[in-house]
Amino acid sequence: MNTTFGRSLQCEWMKTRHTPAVRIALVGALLIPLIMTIAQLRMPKTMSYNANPAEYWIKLYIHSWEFMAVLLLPFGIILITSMLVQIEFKNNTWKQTLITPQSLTSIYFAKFVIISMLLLLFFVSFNLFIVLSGIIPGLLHSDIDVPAHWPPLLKITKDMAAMWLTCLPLLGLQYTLSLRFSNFIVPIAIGLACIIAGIFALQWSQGYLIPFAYSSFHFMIMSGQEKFQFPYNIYWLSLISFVVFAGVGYLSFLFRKYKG
Amino acid sequence: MYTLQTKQLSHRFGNGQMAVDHINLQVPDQSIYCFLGPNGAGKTTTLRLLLGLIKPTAGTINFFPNHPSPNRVALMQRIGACIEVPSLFHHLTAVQNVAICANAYRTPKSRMDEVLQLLGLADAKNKKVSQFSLGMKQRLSIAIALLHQPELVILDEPTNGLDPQGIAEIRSTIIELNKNEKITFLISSHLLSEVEKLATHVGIIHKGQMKFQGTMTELYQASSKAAKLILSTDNDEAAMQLIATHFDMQPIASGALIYSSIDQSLSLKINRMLHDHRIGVSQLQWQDNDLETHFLRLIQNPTL
Repeated sequence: MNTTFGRSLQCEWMKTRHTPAVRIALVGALLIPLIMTIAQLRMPKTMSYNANPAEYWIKLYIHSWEFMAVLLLPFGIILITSMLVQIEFKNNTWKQTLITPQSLTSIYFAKFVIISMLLLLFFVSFNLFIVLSGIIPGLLHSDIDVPAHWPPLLKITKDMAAMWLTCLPLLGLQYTLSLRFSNFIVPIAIGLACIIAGIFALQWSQGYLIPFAYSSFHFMIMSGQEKFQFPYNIYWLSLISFVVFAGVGYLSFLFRKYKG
Repeated sequence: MYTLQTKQLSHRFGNGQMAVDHINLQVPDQSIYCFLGPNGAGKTTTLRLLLGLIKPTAGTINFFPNHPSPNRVALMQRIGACIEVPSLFHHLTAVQNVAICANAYRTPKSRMDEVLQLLGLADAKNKKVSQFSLGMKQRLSIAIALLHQPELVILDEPTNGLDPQGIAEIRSTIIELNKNEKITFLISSHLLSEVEKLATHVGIIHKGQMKFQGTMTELYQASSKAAKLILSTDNDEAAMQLIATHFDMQPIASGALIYSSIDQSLSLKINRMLHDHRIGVSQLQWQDNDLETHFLRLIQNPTL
């Protein structure tokens, strides 16, 4: 690793670790599994392992992701990205950051890597909490079965990697907007408009044109609810859209007339 | 030898206003160069241009011309700066703020305690910056600027928000570092009294233009050059004629005995001459030969 970049990463992590962003990522990841756990304890027969052991984990998994993929995850991305970039604007620290011996490229990508890592932390925590929500109710309530086998970890990992990939366009756009506008409201408002556009795209046969719907489309694919056959692979489109959004953000950051 | 030189440095804002107008800044090695000007004169814009936070419309900036740095990252390792209001992370403690910069500058941890001690913040190092007063924030910002023992320190209004004792402490710290560690300081200020006590060199800027640049001694000389001698006698008309005849001087204001002169011994000579001619002198005084008046005159009428 480039030493300048390594130092930039450390600096960004030092700024981030004491912010509410880490807690938001963990609490956000806990929310739905907690609701699922409570729901199972209140209605013990809804998710029976013994009724269909082969499908138990997949069913629990899809139920949990159903709420997350369309609304909560995109909103979380918008919130965390804006919040982390806003630290610099709010504290008036851009100028201090930019006069330290770090290249603009290092600063830009270090911040981005930290935000991506938070998203990854959210994914890992969310999946861990889903697994716990599948086990804990059985340990607490005698009418609920305790699963006899582990969840399909390989499938979950592949699905999560694909989900992370489809989140990148929104992350790239939100990062670019958050760097561009010092006013917290502007990137959040644009991000919310993108989420709404993504929800509408789910009903549209040309929905692949809206990059913010890719995570929802991926959820539809993994849950077997695929409605449309798109002419292009949404995973490649995710990657291309991300490169375009992040590239525009990078150039705008590099050539900005007034920095800090 | 200069630590910093600019040639025709200019910056025009988006609305067409010339914020910095062809400035040739010359900061000598190991000097305390004070950049003086009223609010809105272009001081902060110039400092931001120097640090690369704004791009110049025209002109060049040359840091360490004798030992130039190969790139911006290497250059920034040699410069410490604090621009405008303190740039600090309010959700972090003082020591955490310093640690972020220590990491960026590759500074050993022992140095962190040293600068906090130097700026009188050792006892408050574990306190969150959000609980700091403006003066403490200012001290912390200066501590961060000094952290990596830079060759040049650029400070924008460093005594803002400090109490008189704090101002005196910061001043003596700067003078000490300049003398003992040979650090060059470029300090912007609108407080003339502070500049008088601190600077070895001064640059006066107004409306984006450099009105004066030189040593403090040169500034004092220029100041006394523009001093006024004010006289009141019991026969002003005769006194005026005598002064014109003997000293070849004309009053600068019509109908009053007010003369512009550099020669401080003139008052004695005139007094003696008027006494010899039996003209009573009721008032004889030098006025406006202090730095403040000269500064005000410079920014109001640069031709003086």
